[in-house]
Amino acid sequence: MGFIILTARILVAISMLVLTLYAVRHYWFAFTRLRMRRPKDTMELVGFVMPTVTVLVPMHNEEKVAADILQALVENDYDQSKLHIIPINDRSDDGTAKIIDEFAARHSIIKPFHRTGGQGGKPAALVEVTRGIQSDILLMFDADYVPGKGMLKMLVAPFADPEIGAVMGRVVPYNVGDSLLSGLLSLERAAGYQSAQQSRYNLGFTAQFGGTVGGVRRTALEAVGGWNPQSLTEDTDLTFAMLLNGWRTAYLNRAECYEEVPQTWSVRRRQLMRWVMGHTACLHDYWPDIVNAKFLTVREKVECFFLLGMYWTAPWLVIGWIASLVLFFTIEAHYVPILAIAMTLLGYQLFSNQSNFVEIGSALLLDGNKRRVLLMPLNLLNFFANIGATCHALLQFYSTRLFGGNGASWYKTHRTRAAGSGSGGSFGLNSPKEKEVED
Amino acid sequence: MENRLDIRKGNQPSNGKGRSSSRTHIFPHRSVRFSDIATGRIVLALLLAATMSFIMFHFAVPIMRIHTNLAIGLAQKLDLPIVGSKSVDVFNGIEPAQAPLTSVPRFEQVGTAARAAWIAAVVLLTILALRFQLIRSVLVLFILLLLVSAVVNSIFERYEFDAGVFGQIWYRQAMLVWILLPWFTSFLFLIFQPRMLEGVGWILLSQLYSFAFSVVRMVFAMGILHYSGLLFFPTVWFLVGTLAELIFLLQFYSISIYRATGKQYQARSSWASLF
Repeated sequence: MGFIILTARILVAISMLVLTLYAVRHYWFAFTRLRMRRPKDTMELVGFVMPTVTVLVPMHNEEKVAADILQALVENDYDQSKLHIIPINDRSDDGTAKIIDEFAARHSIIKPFHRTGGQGGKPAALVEVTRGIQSDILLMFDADYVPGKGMLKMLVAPFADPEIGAVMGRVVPYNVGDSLLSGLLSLERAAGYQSAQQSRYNLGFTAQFGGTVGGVRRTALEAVGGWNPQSLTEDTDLTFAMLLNGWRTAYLNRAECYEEVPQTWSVRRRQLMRWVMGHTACLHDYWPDIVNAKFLTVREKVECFFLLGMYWTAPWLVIGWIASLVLFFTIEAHYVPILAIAMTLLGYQLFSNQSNFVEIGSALLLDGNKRRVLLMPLNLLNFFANIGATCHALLQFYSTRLFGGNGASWYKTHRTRAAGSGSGGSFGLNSPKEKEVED
Repeated sequence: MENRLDIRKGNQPSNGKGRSSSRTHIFPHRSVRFSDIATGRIVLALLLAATMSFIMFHFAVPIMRIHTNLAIGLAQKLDLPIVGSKSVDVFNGIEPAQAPLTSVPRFEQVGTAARAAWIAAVVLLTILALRFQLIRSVLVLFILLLLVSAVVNSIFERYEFDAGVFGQIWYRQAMLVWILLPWFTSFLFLIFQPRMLEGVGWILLSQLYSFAFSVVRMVFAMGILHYSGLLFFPTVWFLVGTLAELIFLLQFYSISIYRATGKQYQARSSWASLF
């Protein structure tokens, strides 16, 4: 019994330490963003930096949304003599190919790329299509995004700095009112971009390239060996490959693009599980290189581990809960304060949970999303759901590593938008439900 | 037609109380907004947190005594039998508190109604977990807590958990929360709130609410202990323990941000100089 109590106490202590460190990090980011007098901003360069650009739009069965993004892209204000748009039809069996070809017939800057075989998934498609591109900059959008007219210029501007290898814009959900889940996810997105990404960038850490609403310098991409087709999160993989080779990722808070967030938990769960597995694979792939990186300071290395290890907080929380439960049922443990402390600080994660919400609150305050703030307590439901999905994904990841198997495959996120509702390019920007976001 | 980018020199920023025919200012895009949090405000927040923590620590014994008296009074109002109180250790430096006592049945003494309620709870939670994906994880956790509780109780039938131990755990976690809470609330409310007095009000309200809410939750948990022993207790503890503190804190926080956002929007042009 003594051994069990001792083990439970040690696990509780480790769990508390891990979660408290992450809590401090969240507070730091929220506070930094809130007080940020001058976020790093390259708006003054917009229009003065005009390298050749290729826009890549991977599409797999995207007939509902394909026309909207293509229309938005051909209406953008970038110098068309320096622009190519490549919609990548990745083995679609719906009407995607037809829509792409119709646009290509009307607009010469659209160069369709039809894939009919090969490895599935966005990373593999990007590897294949990138081989023949000679443009200076590659910009990427997922098919459900609708970039505004000046978006390409904004995303290209930071590349004036030769140290910048990649650029990431801000993702803003437009379907916030369509379901409770999408509303809750919009809170997470606000915290992740308005607060965490901007703070990280301003504090001198690398921003995270998200694989969409962003771009990469072609030479930098080639220097790090291109996309990793084996990765489930090729964007995170590229972020760290570049960072370890001396390239930085810039974050552009002003470059907002509207996306469709999952409306059902089954879709969200699959998306989250892919992120968890891809992210954790990056942690295993890159940790020795991060430790030995000559381009990174100690604080940058620490932040890299925080970033790559963030999904590990979920199992540590569960381990802490279980250990607390063991202590609860162990009568000897009732007479030491550790139980009370464990149940207070860890059992319900007052620190870390609350710190996440502080980040959400500060982001919404700056965004001016008045009504949506009231949804914040309900995000606890999302929090519990995320813990389950994250633990499941990590279990699957490590069992695959230990015992072999197929592991995870690339899932395409299900779209719910009605075909054509985007009205090409203006979608979201003028719709009433987005008005609050626009403010 | 209104020129949306027109800036008239000499005009005061809109105070939101009246309409003007033309825009007097350009308000910054959300990507470059910030709150100019004065250092004095931060110092005040830290001082207030330290003072409140000190008060909670220094007056812990009378505060817990009031808490116990209120809990006993509420329990008696609800016909929950209280069989006295017991002196329990809380933390070093804090003198023992008096925990209210109620009888707690062992597993074999738990009545049929409580056992039936346990089965009904498991069934209901299972149905809900199957039906609603978003809350499945938390419901599965509740089910597991119920099952673990039943298994532990049935294996160790002589396992005893008296109300004194419960009171001790409760006061330990409550004292910890009351001492730590001002540090969180100072950050959440005093720094975010455009109006300093309103921020101080939120901090005091949170502390008061935490105290009063603790009385209600303690009596509720004692009721569960009295009528069903430990059968439901881990689940109930999870719900009415510190999670409940977190939920009320989040509600207060979201309302305060809601109000702060409203105030920011009444003075958009002076976004950066509110404090």
